[in-house]
Amino acid sequence: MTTLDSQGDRLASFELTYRRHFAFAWRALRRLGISERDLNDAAQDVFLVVYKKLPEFDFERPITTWIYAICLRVASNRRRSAVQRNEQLSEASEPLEKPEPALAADAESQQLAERRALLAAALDAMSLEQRAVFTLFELEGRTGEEVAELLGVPAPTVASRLRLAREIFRRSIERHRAREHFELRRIGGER
Amino acid sequence: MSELKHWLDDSSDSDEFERSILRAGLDADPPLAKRDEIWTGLMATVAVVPLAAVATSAQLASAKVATAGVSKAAAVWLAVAKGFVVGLAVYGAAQGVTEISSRFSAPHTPAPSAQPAQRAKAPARAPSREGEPSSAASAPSLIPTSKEAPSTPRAAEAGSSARAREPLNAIIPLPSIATFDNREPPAPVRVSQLEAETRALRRARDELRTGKLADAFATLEASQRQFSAPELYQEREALMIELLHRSGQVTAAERRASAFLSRFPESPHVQQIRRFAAK
Repeated sequence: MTTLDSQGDRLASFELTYRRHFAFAWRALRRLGISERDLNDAAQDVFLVVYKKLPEFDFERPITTWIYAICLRVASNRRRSAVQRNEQLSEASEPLEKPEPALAADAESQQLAERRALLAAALDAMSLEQRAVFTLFELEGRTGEEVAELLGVPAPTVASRLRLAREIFRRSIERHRAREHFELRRIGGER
Repeated sequence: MSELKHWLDDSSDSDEFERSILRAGLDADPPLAKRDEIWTGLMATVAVVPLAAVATSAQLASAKVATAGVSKAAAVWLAVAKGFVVGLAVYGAAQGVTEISSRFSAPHTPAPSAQPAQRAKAPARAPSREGEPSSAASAPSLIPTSKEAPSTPRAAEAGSSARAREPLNAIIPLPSIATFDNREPPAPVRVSQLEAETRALRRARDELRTGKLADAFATLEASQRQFSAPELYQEREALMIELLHRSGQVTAAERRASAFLSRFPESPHVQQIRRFAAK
């Protein structure tokens, strides 16, 4: 087991870990449903745990697996607290990436914002485990084996969660299409 | 597992609308300013807060000691002052009021009716005139001095307060912001390069994920030309290997993957790169 011997090692290693994996942790937290307003705090929580536990970390293990597990735990805790406070963790109206107000008028940006809102709604309908598998596989571009490794679950579990998550995603998109169709017919009928 | 296809691949069973929704969620990277902002917050939490918390309690303790010291000193000082006034009164009775007033007044002494007031003021000036006749006379200082006899309670308390303050920096081996700042190379250059590199790699990755392979090549090559000493070399190389593989240059991808694995055996990208190395 390779661990950090001195305080200097720990600090240098922490800084490097932070620089290298901050974006990964940030994306993970976002895609696990942490709202925009809570992202800073959540990211700080994750790296505080990293800082505290780094001396015990076995550097022969993949560090991303460990960081992702921390992200999952932080997201799960925040989700639980939000439920207790009777809040929604990431509102369907809050897309993954908010459009720039100046560009919102632009049709393309508006379309992008709508799609992001749709994605956010679909992800919100999934359980945290399904959401983790779906976002790692579809958005992060990981393979099934990598997702299994990152989540510490067997490959068939990943396949099964992905299948369920895709069903939820599709249902959510279908609902949207149906609503849109209904809206168009209603508007058409009014004319 | 390996038969699972990403929905962003055109050959998967997803439709174009579903892919467009997924593509909308690809860019979830943080702005670099966020990374620096959170780092500052982290350093404040990791380094300053625990230190400040301990320091505050220690400061409170030492302030308490100092306050106690001052009130004790003030009591002693008042007692001496009172004694001095009584002594003056006795002396005045013996030597006469005029002689006393001449010791504490300007050469042009006012009328005798002003003398009681001057007398009342006299003790306050007496110690400085007489040059610290006792340790109590120096007590008005808020910080107990080391000249004081250690056997006195105040000196003992002051000593313990000094001991309470002394180990703060020694017993908490946490980093200070200054420590980190010293270790950082000149920030503006590094941050801007890192920012530019990150932006280029993010663009290349998005192009790769969305099947724009030629664009991804162009972006990576431009990044290679621009940054001869990259901070994100591993990330760039990992993307390049994946890109070579996906564009059908399997042998080149395998060769670079093997070189990567032998050069960076502990890289966080090892798992990903292994997929492209020669079996």
